[in-house]
Amino acid sequence: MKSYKYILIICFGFFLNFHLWGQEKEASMTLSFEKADTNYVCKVQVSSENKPVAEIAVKLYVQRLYGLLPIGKEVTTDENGVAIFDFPKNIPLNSEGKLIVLAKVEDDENYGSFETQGETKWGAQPDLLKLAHSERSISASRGQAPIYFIVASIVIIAGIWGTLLYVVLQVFKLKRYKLTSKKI
Amino acid sequence: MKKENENSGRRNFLKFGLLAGGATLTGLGLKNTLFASPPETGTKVKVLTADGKMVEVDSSMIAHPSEEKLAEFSIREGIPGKKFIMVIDLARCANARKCVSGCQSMHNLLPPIEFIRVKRMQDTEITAPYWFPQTCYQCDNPPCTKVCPVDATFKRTDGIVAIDSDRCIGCKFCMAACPYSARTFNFGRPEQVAYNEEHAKDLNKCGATKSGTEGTVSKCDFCPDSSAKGILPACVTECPNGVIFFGDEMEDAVTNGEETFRLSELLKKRAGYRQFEELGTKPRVYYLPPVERAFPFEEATEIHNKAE
Amino acid sequence: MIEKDITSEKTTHETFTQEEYMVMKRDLLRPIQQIGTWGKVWIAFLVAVCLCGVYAYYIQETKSKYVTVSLRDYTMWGVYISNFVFFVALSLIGVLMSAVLKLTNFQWYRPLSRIAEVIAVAAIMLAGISIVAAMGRPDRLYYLVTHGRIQSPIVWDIIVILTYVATSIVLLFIPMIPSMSTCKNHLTNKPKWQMKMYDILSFGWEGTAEQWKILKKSVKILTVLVIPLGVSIHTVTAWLFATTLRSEWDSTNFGAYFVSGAFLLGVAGMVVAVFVIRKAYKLENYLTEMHFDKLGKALVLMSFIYIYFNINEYLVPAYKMSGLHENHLLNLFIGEEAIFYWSVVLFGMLIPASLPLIPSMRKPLPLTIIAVCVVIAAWFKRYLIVIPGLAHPYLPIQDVPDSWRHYSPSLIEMTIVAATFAAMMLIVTLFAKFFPIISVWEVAEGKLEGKDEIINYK
Repeated sequence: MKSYKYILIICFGFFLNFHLWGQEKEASMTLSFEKADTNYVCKVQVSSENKPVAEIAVKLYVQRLYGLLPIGKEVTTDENGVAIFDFPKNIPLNSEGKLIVLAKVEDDENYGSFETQGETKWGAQPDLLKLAHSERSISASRGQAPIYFIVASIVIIAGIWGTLLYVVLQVFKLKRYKLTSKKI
Repeated sequence: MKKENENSGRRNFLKFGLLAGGATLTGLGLKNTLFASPPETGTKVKVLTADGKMVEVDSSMIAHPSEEKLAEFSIREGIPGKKFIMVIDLARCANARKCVSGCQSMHNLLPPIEFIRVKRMQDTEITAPYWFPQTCYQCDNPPCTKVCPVDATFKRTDGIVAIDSDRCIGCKFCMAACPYSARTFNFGRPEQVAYNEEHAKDLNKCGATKSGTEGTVSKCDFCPDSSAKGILPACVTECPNGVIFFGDEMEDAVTNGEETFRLSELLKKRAGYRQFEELGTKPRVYYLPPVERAFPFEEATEIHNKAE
Repeated sequence: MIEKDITSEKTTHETFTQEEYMVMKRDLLRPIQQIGTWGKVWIAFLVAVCLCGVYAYYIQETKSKYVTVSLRDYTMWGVYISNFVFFVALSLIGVLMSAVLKLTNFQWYRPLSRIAEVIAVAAIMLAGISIVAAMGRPDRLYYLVTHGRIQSPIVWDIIVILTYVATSIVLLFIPMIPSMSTCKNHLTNKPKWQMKMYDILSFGWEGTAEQWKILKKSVKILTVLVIPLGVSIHTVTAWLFATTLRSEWDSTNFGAYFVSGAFLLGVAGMVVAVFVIRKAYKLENYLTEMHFDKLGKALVLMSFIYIYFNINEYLVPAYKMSGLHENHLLNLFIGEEAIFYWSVVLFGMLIPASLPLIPSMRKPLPLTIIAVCVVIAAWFKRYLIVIPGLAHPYLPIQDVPDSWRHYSPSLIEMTIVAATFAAMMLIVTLFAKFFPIISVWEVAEGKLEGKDEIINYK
């Protein structure tokens, strides 16, 4: 059991060495959003030591509550180190009216993984009325019964119970018409 | 738990006092039924609708707060700004039943009680059979909340149909009304009661629906406690094949934890549908038909939940 | 002023033959005057069954319902609900036997109306108890008042049941005011509290013209009121099913179908009740063969109406045999429940529709046997409406133990159902022990108005 652990540590050491060695060069990205004609584009500039990095695959995502939503397919940078993404106009904006956009390079053999984040206001305002409280309806809560429903119920209940009450009161009136002198 | 605004209900009730005067016990019971209304803030805000119109609504009507505020929500109103939705890809389901066991451990359930079921479906004799995971559909026109006599089951603004097990009187009318048989009743099965007592203080569980209350109804609730924290429901994370996608309709995105799709594009590309659309219940769970399947269909080798 | 009223409102009510009235009085008060050994045994038996039911309910509520009750997730409504529907149906007897016949000027209702009304009151109360027995959390029953939701058919049902109970009790007691006065004046050897009760319930009745006028008016209002109420109570009960999306209940026909079934059950229940009361209290002079003859004819009429609605309910969907109905209908027609279903059709519809057409079958004994068949079939009919439907939902039932697919009521459930029947009969028996079960003045009035056939038929 112990020797197994040692082997693991040695392996990990090798891996770490190899990893640092292989990822000599550090690279960074900048995000910019531009309008080209009627379309929106998102430009990702990848550079390393102030030189553009060509031929590197970049992915673009928009942050969502449970994960990152990919925007289009991955794009490889051109000789200027630029990857251009067509940016859709209809992605629903978040609560602040923005979209958090992430550009990622994943496991590149020269530069490893790195990412950058940007913000844009391009997108669609979500239909907030979808979130409105349910209106008065049959399926709504007890406080939200339809007015016609309440009115109809009150009219029917009051009508029937009123009649019933009237009849019972009539019975109590019987005593008033007593004629003690006459027997059946 | 947030109760309805009792004060305004009472005030309104006074206005109708004369009308209701003739009523007896029953009439008195209607007090809150008829005259309570949700609290309004009074401030008007302008919002832009999807079709580009500006409309003015009460600020209590809308809420779209940042993600940090998600954890603060009332059980009856739901998580503000969210509209949860589920997409189930039938082409990927191989009846691994991990969603079932994951859900059962999340909700402290013992078989044969299942909030999510995997059914073997075969539409006609000559069409191919397929596996059909089925949850509560959290319908937008829920037949169950319509019939509840005490508001114990209700539709929240985040799309979830929830159950208040402290309110439920156990009439089971909602179970009769649900055409999908999604609801289960806690008959107080001795093993289940013992299990619930054992796991009563398990904090990792999503406990919004207290399925342990004897004599009440419970069902799949989209794991709202974890959803509020941005954690996917148990059935989604447990599925080895990424069958179940979960997300927020307001964000137009669903994910199974690995992959994230635009909801609208996924439904369009894969011809998403809802079960029994003709019933008009408007489910919030969509299915992607079992075409170009990831796995060949294999009959289940064991019969589940056979023991009494 | 009063003096003038009396002369102008010269009524005939108090001018019947004194002698005859005294005979009638003696006959009709006899059941109250003494109670036989068999009566005591009968009451003791009913009380024992009721106590068994109370004990069964105690077990059900203190132990796990999974063990005591055989309800499961798919068939979550069982005999309690079908029993509830049965009792609601039975309570329509009051509407039919007193209100409808009274308003349509059929005179033979007179000796029957009070029997019908007391059965109606008892039945509707036990319908309420049946539904409480079905509840998962009866300790939260008051939530229906404190948190009631007017959109729910259950709340409508509660409202309409309470209203119907109140109306039926008032309709039972108001025509009894003159009888209470009779009891007060003519009963002897009764404990003081009982005499005091008669005194209170007679509301100072002395039979003056003005009092008669008020009484007649009140009864008339109530008679008119109770018809829509009775129809709505059973229609709302039908809506408990028809407002769901389940294919077997999703029917626009349901309200009328339930009401017509209730009228059939009402007539059959009346035949049985009249037979028993006639024998037990020796009231052959008042509950005559004429009544069985008329009730037998009513049974035929109601059976045909019920058959008509059954054809609409079953054969029309069966003609289309849509995918949604297929499961359920085939199960009833040729499947697991077929024997059950066709027996109910035979005993609950075809026999009462045909046999009483023969005059000799309208004699008391044969008609009562037919009526007993109808009552039993009617109970099972409600069972067939509630349970097999639940066992055939839209999505297939899979991966569940066998007990979840097939429901058969447990001993506890059947004991409670038996106790509700015993309680209903106990209420009627005790009522007959304290109050005249046949209305003396209504019978006298009928006779006076020249409707001799009521008393001297054949």
